[in-house]
Amino acid sequence: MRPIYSMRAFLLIAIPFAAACASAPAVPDTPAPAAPQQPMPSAGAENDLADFPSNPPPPLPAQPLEFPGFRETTLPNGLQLIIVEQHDQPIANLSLYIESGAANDPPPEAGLANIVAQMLTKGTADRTAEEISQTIEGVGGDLTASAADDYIRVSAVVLADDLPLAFELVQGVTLEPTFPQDELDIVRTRMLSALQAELAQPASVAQRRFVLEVYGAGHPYSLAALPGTVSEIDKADLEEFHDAHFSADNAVLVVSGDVDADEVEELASNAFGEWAGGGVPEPTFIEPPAREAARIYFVHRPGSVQSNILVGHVGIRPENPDYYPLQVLNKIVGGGTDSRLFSILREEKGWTYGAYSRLSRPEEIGYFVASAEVRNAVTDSALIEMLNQLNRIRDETVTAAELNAAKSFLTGSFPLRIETAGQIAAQIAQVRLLGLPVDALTQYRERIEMVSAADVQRVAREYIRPERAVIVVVGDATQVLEDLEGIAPIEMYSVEGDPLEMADLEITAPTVDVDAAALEPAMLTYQLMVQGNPLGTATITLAREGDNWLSTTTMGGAMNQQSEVRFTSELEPISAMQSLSQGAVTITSDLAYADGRVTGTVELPPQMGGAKDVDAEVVPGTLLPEMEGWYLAAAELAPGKAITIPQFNAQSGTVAGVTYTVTGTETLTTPAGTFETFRVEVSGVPQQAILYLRQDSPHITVRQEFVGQPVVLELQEVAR
Amino acid sequence: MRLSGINSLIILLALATAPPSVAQQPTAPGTIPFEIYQLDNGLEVILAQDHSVPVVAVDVWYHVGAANERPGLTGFAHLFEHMMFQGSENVEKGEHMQLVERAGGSMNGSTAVDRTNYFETLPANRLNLGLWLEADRMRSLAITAENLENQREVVKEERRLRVDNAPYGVSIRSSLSTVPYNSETCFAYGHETIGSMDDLNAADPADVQRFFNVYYAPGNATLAVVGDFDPDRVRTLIEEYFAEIPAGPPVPEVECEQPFSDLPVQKTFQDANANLPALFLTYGLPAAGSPDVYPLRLLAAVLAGGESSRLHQRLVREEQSALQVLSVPDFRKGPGILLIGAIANQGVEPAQIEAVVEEELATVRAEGISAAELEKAKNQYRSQVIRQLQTALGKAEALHQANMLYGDPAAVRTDLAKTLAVSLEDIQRVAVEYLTPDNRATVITEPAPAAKE
Repeated sequence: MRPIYSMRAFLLIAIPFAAACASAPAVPDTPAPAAPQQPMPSAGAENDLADFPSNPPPPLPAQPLEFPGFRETTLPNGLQLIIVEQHDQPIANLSLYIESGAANDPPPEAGLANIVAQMLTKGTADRTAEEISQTIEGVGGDLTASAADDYIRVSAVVLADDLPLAFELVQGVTLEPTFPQDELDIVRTRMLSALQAELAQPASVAQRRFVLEVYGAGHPYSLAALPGTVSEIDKADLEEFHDAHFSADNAVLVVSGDVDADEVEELASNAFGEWAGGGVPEPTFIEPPAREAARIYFVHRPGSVQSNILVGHVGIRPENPDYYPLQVLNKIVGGGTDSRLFSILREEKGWTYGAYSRLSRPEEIGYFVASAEVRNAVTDSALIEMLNQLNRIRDETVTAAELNAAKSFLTGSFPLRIETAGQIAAQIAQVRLLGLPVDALTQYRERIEMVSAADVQRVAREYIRPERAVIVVVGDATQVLEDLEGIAPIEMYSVEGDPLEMADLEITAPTVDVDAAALEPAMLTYQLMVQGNPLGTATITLAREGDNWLSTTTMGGAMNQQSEVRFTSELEPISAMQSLSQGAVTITSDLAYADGRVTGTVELPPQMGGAKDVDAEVVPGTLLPEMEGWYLAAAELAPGKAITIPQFNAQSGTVAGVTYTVTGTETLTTPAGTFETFRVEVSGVPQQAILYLRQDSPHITVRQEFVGQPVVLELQEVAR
Repeated sequence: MRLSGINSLIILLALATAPPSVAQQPTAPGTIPFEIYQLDNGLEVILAQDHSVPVVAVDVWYHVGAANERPGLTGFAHLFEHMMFQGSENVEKGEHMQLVERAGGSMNGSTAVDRTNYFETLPANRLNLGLWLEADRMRSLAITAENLENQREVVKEERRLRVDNAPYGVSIRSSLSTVPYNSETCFAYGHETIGSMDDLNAADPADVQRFFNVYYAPGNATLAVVGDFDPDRVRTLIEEYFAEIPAGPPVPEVECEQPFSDLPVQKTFQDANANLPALFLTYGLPAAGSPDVYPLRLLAAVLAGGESSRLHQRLVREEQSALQVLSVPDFRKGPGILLIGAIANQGVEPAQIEAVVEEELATVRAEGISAAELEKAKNQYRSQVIRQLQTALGKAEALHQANMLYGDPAAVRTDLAKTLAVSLEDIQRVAVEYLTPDNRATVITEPAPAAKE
């Protein structure tokens, strides 16, 4: 049995067939931008080449941008049509935007717009999902649909000759989708697992808390899909959303590439001329809460070895002309590897792999945010430095060199975003969806060019407000919370979003009856399934070793694990040796327990902190890694019961209280037989899991699922 | 057509200040106006103007790949892909990437059997930065013991990650090299691109410097510049940065005689990382210069390119005996190969899949394919080529590829035209000539128990 919790270290699983097939190794393993280096010895350089310039040449004069010509018109039913002729290659892009998206989701069905988008190509009045994909594949084209906060986009890319077919397909999926039930079931399941994967990522947890605090509950931009809301969505909801929002006067059609504008107008009016207009319900944008002072919203993620920090607040509306100086400001503060945040937090201090800032620009009010992921020990210093940098941009005028570098980057890299017909269409549509005139695009470079250092300081003072910031920190409260006190008042939440108090974090010995005599020697074999495919096996053996127990785990396949854990007949830990590897990443640990202390060594990959010695005092009843399964097997369990067990986390070197909640019973059939099981939710660990434990004693693990990951362990064989 | 006023104005302004546009509407798909010339030191230069947006691609191909390696010195071509980012006289380690990123551009490099490429996409006015960076490492790469040791470790790590620890890694690498090609008569293709660890361990900086002097000299390289530039200025810059670099010694010829004399051959690999058995069939093909390449490319797509292909329909959808199928046509300067692979579903023997693939191929040999299948394969290929040509970098890569395989960058257009002219008879003919059991290397992957620590 033995649930393999340590697998959470390796949940970067993919079926690497396609990757392994690439015939040319394409990526030079250049590290992420590196810390300052020693000057390079000039091996191989010849003296007679002394004329070669020793410094990178300065930029040449900027070239003018010849924005492709386009035509804008509105059909009688209200459909906006934008046509961009770009004849470089015989290819055409057709994108239809519905100006309603996730912000229009009814709160109880958050996630609906996303599901609607995914379901559009899954069947129409004329074609099944398979016929749609075969039709587009047959002409070498692509057809996709996706949702954002403010819109849903359906997009087709085809060779220019196939433009009529692209119109036919986009018209079919947009106006006459059938939302077949069987396809809906697949899409919803896929979305649930994507959602759970998202909720397991600290960066996503931080972002969700940040928008909730910045916009306030009830604001369309703070609305977020949850497993509960997605499960609620049915076919009738899809139809209702489609009826309400898919109308001609709520849509923009952009056709770009090697097309003839007159012909496109005719195709558009044939395909979409009969499409009805009619009022569309708009989301109610309440005012984001006014903030008087900065506040830290701390999300406790037990066992976290890093903290994710976000600092920010509301920004501007899209039409605000201060967008351009703010773009320059953002580039200087945190918009790249030569920005202040990156140079100071990463290159000067070495606290993080990256530190950035960002300005969002949705249809309504946007936000400004600075972000960094840092080691536990420097969480407070990093946060203070981020706040310093936000104050500095207000207090000091930027240098001419910084200003020019930022402007040159923004104007120079802009054309790289409009190389293809599809990119041009997307840029124009974006401007249009924000309700802006096209000169927001055609004059972008000129407007950036005009920004002065005084402009940057003016907008910094007007919009950058560290003293009123929303500060989100996701990390292990037992490691970092104390250090943050004094920076700003703190509110604490669990990863699931419930309020927490410091007292909730205190770790105590477990209060559960354990019948250690229930354990017996056994050999359990599990199959590791990834996306339903068998990708490895694990064998867990419990054997007597004198008066003590020895539990050995061997797993091979997509990931490898070897471990040996020793404990007494009273389930008191003695020692734990572990070696985990997936691909080239290896983690090893060698720990011993005696007299309330855990000592030993842990070796992590360099990016996770490298090798370190462990010597920690632990609360009574703390388990070493990999023995909690046997502890549970011997524990007294019943539906509704919750047990919190302190467990030593080798990676962070700390103890966390891991909670096992019996949420119900289930009958499960696996290759090893049919079992009556307890369904047990595991929380308080970075990777949440669900266990199915045999009701009969000892409660061996019959099945283990990892929340948000397509990975399952299933009991294959039980031997003694 | 009607233009909004502001827009007409911008276009007029652009016309007044920009050089005359060379890239007019192409007369045929794949037409890219270009010029090609050579510096005195042998550096070949391809220039193609495209003023649609102020973007430029700088793309250097060194005509060296795994094919140039000799026994005892394998893995060098790939090692260089790493060494080239370790700094040069005026560029510190890691600085290359930083300079490009800070200029608003992007960069990368890759190693194949016949060439190694290094490229940047940049704002048009940073063209000089791209040329300067490429020239500096061509003239003064920092080949030090420290850099060599460092990158040797990185390459070993990459090998562990991509080959040794990746499911099917060893089977696929072998199917593209040592199994189909006769390693004695065609060592060039009969060894793995990623090379031998023993050879890399034995390499010293002097070996590496020699390899650099021969294969990374201007006479063994082609520089392509594509995008929005002034041709006179570009020529001047290229002259200034590259002309003084010494020409380098002559490059030894690559020999590949009787590459497929070992076929048919069968090999089985035990793979501790694989949990399902797999089958890889590699067929010996002619060199890229052969007209048979065009129908072979389309036939590969008909067999296993996409979900409506023959093998996908039969093995994955109908019989559900395979989890995944793929076909990789690999055309080279010398004789190429076609790899057809399938991962078997649980409980399915590779022999069963092999029988189905051979049955499908026998049908193609006897009856050919349908006109609709041919049309679809042509559409897909045409679309793939045209999509590649949408960006400056895509054009640069296409010009290089045509120049390397056919000795003429204009072959981007003729290659497409000839592929679109393939007939049903051509398809059947090449199936009969090449896709036979006698001309095949068979690799079977068997899942093995995990190796103990």
